[in-house]
Amino acid sequence: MTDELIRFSNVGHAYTPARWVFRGYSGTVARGRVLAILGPNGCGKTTLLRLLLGLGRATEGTIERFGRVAFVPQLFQVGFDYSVLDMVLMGRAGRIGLLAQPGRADEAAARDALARFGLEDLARRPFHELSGGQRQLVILARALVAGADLLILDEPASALDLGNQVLILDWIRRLARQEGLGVVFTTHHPHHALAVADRVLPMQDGADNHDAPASEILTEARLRALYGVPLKRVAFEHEGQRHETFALVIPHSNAPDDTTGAPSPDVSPP
Amino acid sequence: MALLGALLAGVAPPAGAGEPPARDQRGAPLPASLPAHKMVTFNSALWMLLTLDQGTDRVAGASASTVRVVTTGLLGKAFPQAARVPDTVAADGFFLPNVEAILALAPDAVLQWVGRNDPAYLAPLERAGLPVVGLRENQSDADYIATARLLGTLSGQPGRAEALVERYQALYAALARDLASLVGERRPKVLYLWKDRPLIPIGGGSFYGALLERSGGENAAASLSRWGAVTMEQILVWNPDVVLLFCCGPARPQALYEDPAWRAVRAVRERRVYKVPMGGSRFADLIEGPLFSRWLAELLHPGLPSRLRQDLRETYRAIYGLTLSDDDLDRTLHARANALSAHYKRFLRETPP
Amino acid sequence: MIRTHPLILPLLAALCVLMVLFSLGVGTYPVSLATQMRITAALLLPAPLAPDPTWTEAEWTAVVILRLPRVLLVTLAGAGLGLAGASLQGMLRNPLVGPDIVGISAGSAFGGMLAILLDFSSTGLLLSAFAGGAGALFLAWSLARLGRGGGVLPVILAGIIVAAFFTALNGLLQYVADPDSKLPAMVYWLIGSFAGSSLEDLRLAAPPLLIAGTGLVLLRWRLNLLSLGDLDAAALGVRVGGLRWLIVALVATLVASQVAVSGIVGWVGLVVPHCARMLVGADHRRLLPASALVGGVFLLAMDNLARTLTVQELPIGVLTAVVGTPVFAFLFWRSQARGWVLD
Repeated sequence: MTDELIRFSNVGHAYTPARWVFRGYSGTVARGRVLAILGPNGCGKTTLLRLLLGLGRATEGTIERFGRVAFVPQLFQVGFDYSVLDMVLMGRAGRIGLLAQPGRADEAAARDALARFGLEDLARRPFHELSGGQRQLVILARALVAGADLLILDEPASALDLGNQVLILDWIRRLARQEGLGVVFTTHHPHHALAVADRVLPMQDGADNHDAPASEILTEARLRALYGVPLKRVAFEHEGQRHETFALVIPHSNAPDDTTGAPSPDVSPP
Repeated sequence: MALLGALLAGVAPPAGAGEPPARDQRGAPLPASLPAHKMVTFNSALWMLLTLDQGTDRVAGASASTVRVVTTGLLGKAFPQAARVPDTVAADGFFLPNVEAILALAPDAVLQWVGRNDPAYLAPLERAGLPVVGLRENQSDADYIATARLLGTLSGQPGRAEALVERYQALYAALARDLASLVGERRPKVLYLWKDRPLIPIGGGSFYGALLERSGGENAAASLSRWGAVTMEQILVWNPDVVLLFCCGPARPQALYEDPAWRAVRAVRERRVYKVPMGGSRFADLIEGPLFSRWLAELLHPGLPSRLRQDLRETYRAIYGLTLSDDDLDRTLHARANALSAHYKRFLRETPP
Repeated sequence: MIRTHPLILPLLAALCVLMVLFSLGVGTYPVSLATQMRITAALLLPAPLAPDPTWTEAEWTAVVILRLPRVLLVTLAGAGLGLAGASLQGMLRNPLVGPDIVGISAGSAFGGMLAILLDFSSTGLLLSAFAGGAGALFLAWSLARLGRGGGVLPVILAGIIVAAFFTALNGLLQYVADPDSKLPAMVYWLIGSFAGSSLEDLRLAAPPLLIAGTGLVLLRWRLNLLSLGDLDAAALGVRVGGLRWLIVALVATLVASQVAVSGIVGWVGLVVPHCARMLVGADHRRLLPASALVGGVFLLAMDNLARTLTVQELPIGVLTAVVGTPVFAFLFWRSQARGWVLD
């Protein structure tokens, strides 16, 4: 398959020979496709991303990359007041020599990338003054300016407010469908995966560790096994379009019964 | 301008010569049983004690810095046993007492500076119940003489102390006579550099500054009221006729002659930069103070009769019974370092080796 | 909006040149402005155009032999400290560090004092100071990585520990040094002063200062990348480990060269980058040149005060500390007020 951007098989990582963080994960991402890596906190999602990025050696397994990869970290903070344009420009690092400085062409590319997200007016604004969603978009623009074919995003929407979650998920889908980029992202929200992912890799010990079409993984049964709590798949219509999502099932905690309920605190037990 | 006049003013009258001192220099009574047999000293009293007692028998301990002055100079030749004096009585090597080490020596007198950081240097000794004898830093002739008499009393050598005092006064009186004969001669401006990097000169109002005047010169840095570094530009402003370098530092006249920064200074143009002789007690104090003045006066006023070399030899023979060789004298006078400087030939032996 | 006037850097450069010329006219020895200008012209212009030498030897000595090497050395040292501070702050992603705070200065002083004790040549002294500075930075940095969760405090605490350690070693060296021949030079070193600056000092320190300074200026955009954090920088294709070692080596070279000729001059490397940041913003492409220029101007101003305020020379390290510590306090307050979060 010539469209493949990354293929990893049987990847495992251990800090010491006896302590595996995870083992045996496999998956593939093609152009225009989105892979969601799903799992609870602490299952090694970020470590797997590092390996996919090539920033570290997998203890076992193989990872093949067939294009330029760019990384979008979790909600990004930087201690210095860089301008938005400065931040995007940094995407050109791989193309500029060690002792060289970015030139006019690099700056033009950065402005183009910002314009694609409609952020050209923010170019001279301090990066840290932007909203969380805008910041994520700037980092996406930085990934584009690096000429990436494959974007790897670490929890891209988790730290954002609801409006910005929608914004970022929409952009992830657009970048894949319209720009033909491959996307890998981690999330612990199954409804994010449901909204944008074509394939899903659940990170769960003892389960089948290969990625699979979203429809196979994102079922109530599989998610219950993954998260240990029930989730409800809900379908609904909004402005004439059909949507699906997962809803949390929060158990009702012993609601007081009119007749046989627990004694109220001010009544002493018999 | 005549140099007569005030030259003798600093010399104290020999009043009270027969009366042994009963108190130390901060007014406290002296230890009850005198003379002391086991003394500990932190300061320059060490070389006076050696001189008075002609040995180290009464010295139970001294600070490392004072022992080093003795062992590296001519006194080390006179008293080789000084190298064996326990030198751990000062915790910092200088004046900070190591009380436990001193208690272990069980001294009957501990000689310490007063007026110089008393709470750290003196108080711990007193708290430990040690018999402290306070000594002020010598700031004048009268101080030198008083200190000599006090040390004479402590070591049971009052007669010897008196003889040394008389010798001191006689040498200065001879110098004053010689200087008074120089009618119409200008007092050269002398800059005494205690350190050369940074440039720290002896300022006005100090004993050493007064010593320059007494030796027939004028302190170029007399306007300087406190200890500290000055800029080279300030030295250009002073433009001294003569520059003296501390006896025991790394500086040498040669370095100044070769340094372009000094080229415009008169002392360098006229090659009148001298490293002060080392002697036995750094060419200062009761024994060598007059020798320093003679040395300087002869350099400032080359018309004076040349007698330093013989004075030096004579002093060591009379006081220490030591016959100094020509090599000893050359070493102590820094003959090699000063060889290039004007008028220094007068101090060197007739036929160099 | 981040707006910086495009003329700020050229103006800073012009200010630095003016400050150099002005400093040549400042000093204890009286030299008239006209004479100073004529001497300067004689230095700068080729022989046929140079004015006739109407000045005295003392005036020439004051301007050319005493002030010129000192002024140039102070300018280069100030620029070097500014660059070192800005680079460290970028590399460690921490606006509250400087070469003295992370222990480089104390380490360099240790290396230099050891060289004095062992009678090294002046080049040996420079190398020894470099080894001490680089070693201290390495120690501080390794120690800071033990601090979990990153942030600004572990680096500062590690720096305090390392600086205290080297300060203790320096005390030990002073104790064993010969008080007549070695100790004065050592003490002079620890206080920090340009009082003895000579042409030899300039010859010794200028090449490493210029080379390492140029190196950092060329790497200035890479500092932007490094300041993003290891993971992000590496993902952008930066070889983080190698680049960081390169910067450590260049920073240590700058500080060691400065310490080798003038002892510990604290606070410059901390304060100057902040002033520069107020003028040109955080982008290291502009910040590094600006820090170098502001550093030169600042240290020249301090040194002019040091050599003219009183008859006696004030140690410049004391002046920079008097100016630097309140600024540090202000920065600490502001960083806390802003809730500076890193990592």
